Amino acid sequence: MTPLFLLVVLAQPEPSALVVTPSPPPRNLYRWQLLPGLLVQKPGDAVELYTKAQAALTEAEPDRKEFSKLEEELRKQRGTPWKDADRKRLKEIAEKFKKPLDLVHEAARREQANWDFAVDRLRKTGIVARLPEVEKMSEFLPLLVVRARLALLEDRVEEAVQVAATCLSLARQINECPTILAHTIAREHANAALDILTDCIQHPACPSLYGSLTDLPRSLLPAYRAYEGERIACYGTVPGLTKVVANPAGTELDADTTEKIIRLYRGLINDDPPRPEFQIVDRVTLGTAMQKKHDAAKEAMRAAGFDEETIKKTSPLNAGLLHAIYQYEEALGGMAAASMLPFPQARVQFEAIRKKFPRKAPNPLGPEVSALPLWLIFLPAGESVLMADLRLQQRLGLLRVAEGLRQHAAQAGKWPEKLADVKVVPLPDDPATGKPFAYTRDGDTITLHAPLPKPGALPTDGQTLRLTLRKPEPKP
Amino acid sequence: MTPLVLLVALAQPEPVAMTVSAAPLPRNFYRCRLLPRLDELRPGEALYEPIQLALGADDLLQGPLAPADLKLARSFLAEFNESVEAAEQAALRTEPLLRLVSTRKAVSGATLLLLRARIALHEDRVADAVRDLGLILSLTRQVSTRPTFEARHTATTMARFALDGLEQAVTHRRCPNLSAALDELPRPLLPLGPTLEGERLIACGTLPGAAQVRRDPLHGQLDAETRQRLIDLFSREYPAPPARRVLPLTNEFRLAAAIQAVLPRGQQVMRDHGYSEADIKQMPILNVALLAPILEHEDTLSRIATAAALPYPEARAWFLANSDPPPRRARDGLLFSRQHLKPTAFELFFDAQCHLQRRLDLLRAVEALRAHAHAAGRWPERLADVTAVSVSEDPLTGRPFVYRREGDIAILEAPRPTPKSPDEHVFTYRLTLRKPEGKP
Repeated sequence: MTPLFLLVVLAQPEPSALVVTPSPPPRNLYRWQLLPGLLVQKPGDAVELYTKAQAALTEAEPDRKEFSKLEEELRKQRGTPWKDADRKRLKEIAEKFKKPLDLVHEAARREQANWDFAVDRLRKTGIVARLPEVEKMSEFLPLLVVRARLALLEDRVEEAVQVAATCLSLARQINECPTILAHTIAREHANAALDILTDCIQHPACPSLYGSLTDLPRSLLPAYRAYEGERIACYGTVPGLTKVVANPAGTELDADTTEKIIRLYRGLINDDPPRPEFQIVDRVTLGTAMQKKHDAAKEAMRAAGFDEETIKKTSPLNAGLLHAIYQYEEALGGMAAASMLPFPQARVQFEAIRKKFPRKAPNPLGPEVSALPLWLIFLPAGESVLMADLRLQQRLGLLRVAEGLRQHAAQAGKWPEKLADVKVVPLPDDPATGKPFAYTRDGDTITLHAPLPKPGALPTDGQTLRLTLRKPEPKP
Repeated sequence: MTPLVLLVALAQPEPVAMTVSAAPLPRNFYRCRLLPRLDELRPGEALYEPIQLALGADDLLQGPLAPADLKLARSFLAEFNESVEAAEQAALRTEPLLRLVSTRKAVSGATLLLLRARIALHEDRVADAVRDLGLILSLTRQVSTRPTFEARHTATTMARFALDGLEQAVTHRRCPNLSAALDELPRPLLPLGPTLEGERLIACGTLPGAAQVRRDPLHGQLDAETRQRLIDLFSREYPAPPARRVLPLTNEFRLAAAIQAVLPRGQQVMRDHGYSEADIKQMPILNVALLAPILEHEDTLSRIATAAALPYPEARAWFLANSDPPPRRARDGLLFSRQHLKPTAFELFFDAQCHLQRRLDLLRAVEALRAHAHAAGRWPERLADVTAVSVSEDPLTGRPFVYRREGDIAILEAPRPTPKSPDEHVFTYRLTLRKPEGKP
């Protein structure tokens, strides 16, 4: 085997191979809704119930080691076909964690998720703010998958789909919490929901979920709130920033705040931890940079609409801080707005932002950079977020196509020769390219592929869904 | 001119002429944003009660604000000072309005904010104007989460206010480029989902006992009061022939007879919805009579929801085919399906959503052109030449907007996407580039 071939084989992602039954859409979409409808929603705050559910989880399994073991056991099962799962074991787990899962089910059907406390924490403590309430949400996921698989094994398909709806609702609610971390956990929940749905569509009694998937909001987990939370965290972290932004000319930063800014400066331009012996050097370097870039900082203030009188009265340190935050906001705001665009357009915008605001420390004395390049540590890895969000959208798109194809097969009795032959419903395009997904047919088996739009990615990289048409059961 | 050509010419909506300045992309998106920032928002529910109804402002909102009207507009606004403050406070609340109060007050708030924005534009306070327009959009989003027709109408009206204001704002010589701010708005701006959900909720809420039966079709039993409400409803919907004197008891008998008559059809609906024969047999016949029209109604709403998510040509064709007469064939032969469970004209909402989205994306394209003009000093020859920022595509066709240049005028068109599309989906913007200040 040549090394190149070996490389291709190694890079080949394992396609999801599913055996499915042709199926028409359900008569009543509302029974198969993937986000709880208003009829089942109840007034109140979901976050309160999540806290109760977390307590109930600890009550059900107080030993953290045991719970970790269980998580590991369930993680191993994740890639296996649901039909091979040990029903007795699943039942045992589902019963043990019934109370927390019931609470999660209820919480997912609450009208609101109030994360105000998280915003408050970000304001007060900045990027070091801990949000264990959000982090712990992932603990429910393997258990929800257990519940769904058990329902499938017992032929309760509608209930399994409802568990997927719970996961998607959780994802939307968690995404309301404005941090990149919450957005990532929300995406994890949405992916778990798609795992469950992938299981569901293999059940012979599952109707085509094309309509239910189409009914989901077009932007399932918008990222712009997460970016906004990052901004609040930045304000909460940089000493004196909020005061300076509110009143640049009238704010005089005390010695303690200035020291903190100097320490921050060292962290920004050098990976070394702050050391007392460098403090004088850093103070001088920062002071020089502030002076040298004072004109640029004044220009930034002018562009922001400050009058000449205010600019004149603003100290070089305050002007430098404003210059720094404006540059950071330029980069972060650009990412937030671009995240709402279709992927091809968003990628162009992200590339432009990263070109202007590179990850590596620029020459601190370079004229184009503010004296305090805040973006170096505060700007999130937006490209990773964008790519991960794209992968979720691609997965969702692939599943929608699969369900459209099941509808087609129910009408035509076989898979279509090409995707364009499907007339029963319009099939979504690959969000990465705006063009149809790659489709091949080999007898009763079809392959759908969404390539990974990443420089250097192999054509075989990406997500693949392989569907085989189930043979009709012989009639007695 | 032949009559046909004349007809087409008459149907063509008037092009919008705009004189705009070239504008670079703003350096700081957070200082030039439409929706309120997270740190501006305050916890709590948006309250519209303190807003007074601003009647008589309509004349001040049409076309550019003439100098003669300015004084009038200022004094009008001064009269409603507290209301406009209340509207601003409401727009900055985190929780949308959920209680059933009149949304007319929200419209009034939007009217006052639009007037304030127009005055600000006149006084060259562009940032203030853009902020007020963003507040209108915030109010719009709050109202649109309320799942009722009234709220939907209101939100549509308010979104139109915001777009009217934005179209005026971009013609101001100092208006910053709003491209990024427009990118951030949710798509679609007003999704149809909540209104459809509201329909479903209302159907269950208004048919006495339906919610109870829906929860437990096999064992749910109506109490005496609910039964009486159902009989009253039946006698109103299916009145006895006027010549006959009807005793109160007679209506109960008539209802029982009607339920018996529609039972086979109702049972068939239950079967179609996956209920087993054993369940159907066990189900009280009154429950079948109540649940069947609800399920059929939900079917209709399901189809509307699915259609609304389709690409425009398919969706529009579906709405045209199903709007008149309303999709009630499936419901024929069921009780209580005439008045309460008739889906209102959703195609109107769909059309309004398409209108708003197309207008919004056109505005984004205008902003992309302004950014290009700033870098290049003139309009591009083709839309593909714009590289400073991505140019939005036509949401109704999925293709770029039609663009051409006639001398100094750039023409941006959104032509009729399908032959039967309404006029309100057609737009033409004629953009003239303003000469930089100080240059003759």
